[in-house]
Amino acid sequence: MVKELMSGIFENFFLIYAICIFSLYLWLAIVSARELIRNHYHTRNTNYDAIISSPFAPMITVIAPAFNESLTIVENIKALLALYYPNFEIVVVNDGSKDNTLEKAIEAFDLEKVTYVVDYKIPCQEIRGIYKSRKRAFNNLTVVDKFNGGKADALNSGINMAKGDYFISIDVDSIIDPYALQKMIKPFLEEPHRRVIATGGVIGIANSCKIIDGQLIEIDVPSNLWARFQVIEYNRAFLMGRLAWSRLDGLLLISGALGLFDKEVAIGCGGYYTKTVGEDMELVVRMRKYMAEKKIKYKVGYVPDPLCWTEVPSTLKVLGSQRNRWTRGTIDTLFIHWNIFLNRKYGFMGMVSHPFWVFFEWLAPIIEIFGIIYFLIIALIGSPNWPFFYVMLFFVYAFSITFSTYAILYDLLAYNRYKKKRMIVRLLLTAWIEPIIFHPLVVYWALRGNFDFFIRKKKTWGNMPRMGFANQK
Amino acid sequence: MASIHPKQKKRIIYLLSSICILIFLTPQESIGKKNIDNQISTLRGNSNITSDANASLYASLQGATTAIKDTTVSVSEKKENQSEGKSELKFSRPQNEINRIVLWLVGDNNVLEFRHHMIDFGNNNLPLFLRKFYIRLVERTYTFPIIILFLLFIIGLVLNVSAVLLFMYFTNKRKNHKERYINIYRNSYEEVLRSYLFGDIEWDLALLKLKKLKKTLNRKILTEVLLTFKENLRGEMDSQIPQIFIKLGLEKDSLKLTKSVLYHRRIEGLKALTNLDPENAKEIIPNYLNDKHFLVRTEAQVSYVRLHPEDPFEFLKTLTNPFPRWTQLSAFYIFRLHQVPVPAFVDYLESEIPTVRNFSLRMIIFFQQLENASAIYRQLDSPLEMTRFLSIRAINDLRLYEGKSIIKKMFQSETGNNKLEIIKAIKNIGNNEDFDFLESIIRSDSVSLKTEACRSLYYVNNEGRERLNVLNQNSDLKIDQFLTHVTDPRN
Repeated sequence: MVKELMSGIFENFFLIYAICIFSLYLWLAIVSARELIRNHYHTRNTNYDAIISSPFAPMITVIAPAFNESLTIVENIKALLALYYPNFEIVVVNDGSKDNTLEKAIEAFDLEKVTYVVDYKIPCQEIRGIYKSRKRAFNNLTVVDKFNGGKADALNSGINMAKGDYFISIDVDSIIDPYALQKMIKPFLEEPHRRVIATGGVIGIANSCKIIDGQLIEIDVPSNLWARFQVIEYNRAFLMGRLAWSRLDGLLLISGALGLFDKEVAIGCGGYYTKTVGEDMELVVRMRKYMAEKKIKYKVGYVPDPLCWTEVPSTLKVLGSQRNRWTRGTIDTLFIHWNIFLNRKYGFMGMVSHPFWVFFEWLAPIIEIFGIIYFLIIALIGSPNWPFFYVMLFFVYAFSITFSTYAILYDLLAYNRYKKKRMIVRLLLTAWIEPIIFHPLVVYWALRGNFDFFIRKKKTWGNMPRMGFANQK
Repeated sequence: MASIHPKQKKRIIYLLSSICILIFLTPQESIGKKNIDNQISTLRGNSNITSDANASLYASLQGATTAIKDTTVSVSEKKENQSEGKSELKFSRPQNEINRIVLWLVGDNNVLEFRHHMIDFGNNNLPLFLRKFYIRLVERTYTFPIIILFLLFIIGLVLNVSAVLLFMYFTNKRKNHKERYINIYRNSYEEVLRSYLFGDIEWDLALLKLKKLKKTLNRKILTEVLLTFKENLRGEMDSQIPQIFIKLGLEKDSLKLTKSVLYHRRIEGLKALTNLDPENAKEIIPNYLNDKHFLVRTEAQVSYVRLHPEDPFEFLKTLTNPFPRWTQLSAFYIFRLHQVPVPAFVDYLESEIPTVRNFSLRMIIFFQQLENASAIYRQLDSPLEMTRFLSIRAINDLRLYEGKSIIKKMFQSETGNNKLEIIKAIKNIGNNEDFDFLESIIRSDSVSLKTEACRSLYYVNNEGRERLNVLNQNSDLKIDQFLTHVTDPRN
């Protein structure tokens, strides 16, 4: 009797969970499609010349933390200086690099050490020196040299140095679209009823793309299979997930590679939290919480344009380490802000977004593995319902590849990034094998992340070596 | 990790118990297992097959001849099923072999069991009116062997993906074709219009050469060509272009577009009319100034600025929606681009809409409209931080010395940003009387206020600098550090 009862509970739970997750993803995909159409017409009828030539364009500070980036730092700063916006400054934070990142920047931009007063509005590691260029052309460039404290700490010191009303946090080794600032500031300026506290953009994958002098020249599908899997994954996440969440006003994550924030709100809520590896998500959640507690109407915007291109891991080891960190970051953020969970005070974020992240982002791989273990036990000791098993297995596979195919379609219709037929075919083939090859690995890495978080109490970033864009194609 | 608050605990317990209740409320597949087993054994033992579905599955298992016989028996027994008569399936030998393999693979009990579960689920959960259809659907489905179900599933999937692929292919093809088409006609129209505008051909000939003008797309292309010409040509030709637009009756298309329910079409229509048929546009633009769509409103407001040089911002008085910064930037851009005469912005300072007041203050500062002092002072009492901020900036930028005492009085009760702005204003409109005020700030804890106060004291006059030197010598305020900071021109 107990055995039957238990099996009943388990089976029904897995079934209900699967139905919920598929329905939610379907719902998000539909919302995203509507939003993409809306964005298409919106962009077509926007004249960016108005902001480019305007003396009223708000000042934006670009904060680029750099750690051991000597190979690419000069090219990356040059690319940032070429951003197309009338009123911005760049703050490069050398986060205690062990190589000659700072020396390279000093030499290339004729920097000299200056004695400036720093207002530590947000606590951060001590700043060793501030550097400004002797050349007028680089007047908007500031290089901050500080003791190592991690990415979040580097960003906090950048915020302390920032003069702009808004700051954009980027990965210094990413390629930013020259028009990114004007596109990302727009949501802040066109919303009259609510205060926009942050905007995020779509991150593109730059592996195998042609890059010259820090500028993206030609887009191609990555030749590396692992990177290609991530193209599919990013398409799904950015075009079918975050876009919908932003429309529903429930976006909790703005990628660390590109996010524009209201400086006053970021400082008000204490800046980046340095004791987590998921500082990007944590900041967004805290800013939202801060606004909700102050009872100020707010919005987190999203620009569904590929405004930033980044190199993704192309080896299993690095990829695994990245996913492990993402999982730990997610769990950490969810637990730090656990009081949001199903709390009506925090509106949609409390009632829908946070629970969604708990049940379908954090717990999904755990429930999946429990489902597999349960099935194996049944297969070994009992008589599993084979038709049900086959039907479910096939359904999951079918849903997964249909979803990925639609993600490729969304990308094609919205941006037409991968123009050649062979690119589309390669992506489609990758989508077909992704659930069999890539997904089990993602689940494994997520479980490792859970293990590292709860059992090993790991709080470090791990290494993320990159090939660099310098010699690409 | 944050500890869980008792209230949170309650919520979690509530959620977990709800999930448990939900699980218990849903049909328990395993609970009815014994009954189902009994049913299956009865089915096997007595050939008491209740429907064709079971029969066909059972047939697959037991062998074609016997099963078909059983099926015939069941058909004769059950009148309902007899009347339908469609579900009776006769399998060829290879089909039976496949079914036998598949059923061996998946287990015959399971197939029947699964079907029963589905029927039980329908009986227990579905409303009466749906139950009948549901059970019929399940039974119909189970008249097919399981392999066909799988095949159908695969076909469904392949069809779905193929549909997407075809859609991608045709969309791409259509896009490319449309692009080519537009390019061909754009070039052709440009050539003809250029020849006409430069006097190489007469209008009649030009009209003959402008092909396919009955097609909507071609008329749209031609409108776009005229818009580009209007933007780039000046002088006599500039006035000829709107005439062509009207001669070809394209203004009717644009007017039609402005009535569309789709906002992007309304924008398209407004744009064309503003540039090519200003008289018509002047009449209809006021209808769109308070349109429900933000972008249409923006387009209409920008058009208004352009079409009413005598009073470009008059519409602000009748505005019912906010005037967001993006629209302000767009209006200002058009205002400067077309060199529209500058109006007195003080007229809009009393607007009920805060964004209009802020815009007026920005414009007053930009155009240095000094005559508006008293109206600006009134804005210092605004409950909105941004309005006060802009008013302080106006006092600073317009050098309104009388305003200094007011903003100094406001200092203590102001927000951080506004405090900084007041100190910045003192730099330009301050004098020796303000030294004590600035010194008190220098002695405060806020680094940013201190830095700004040092800057103001340093730049207010030479005596201010001396005061800073004295402060540096007689205190541990590290004034020299602040001085290095504020005197660096790059900062």
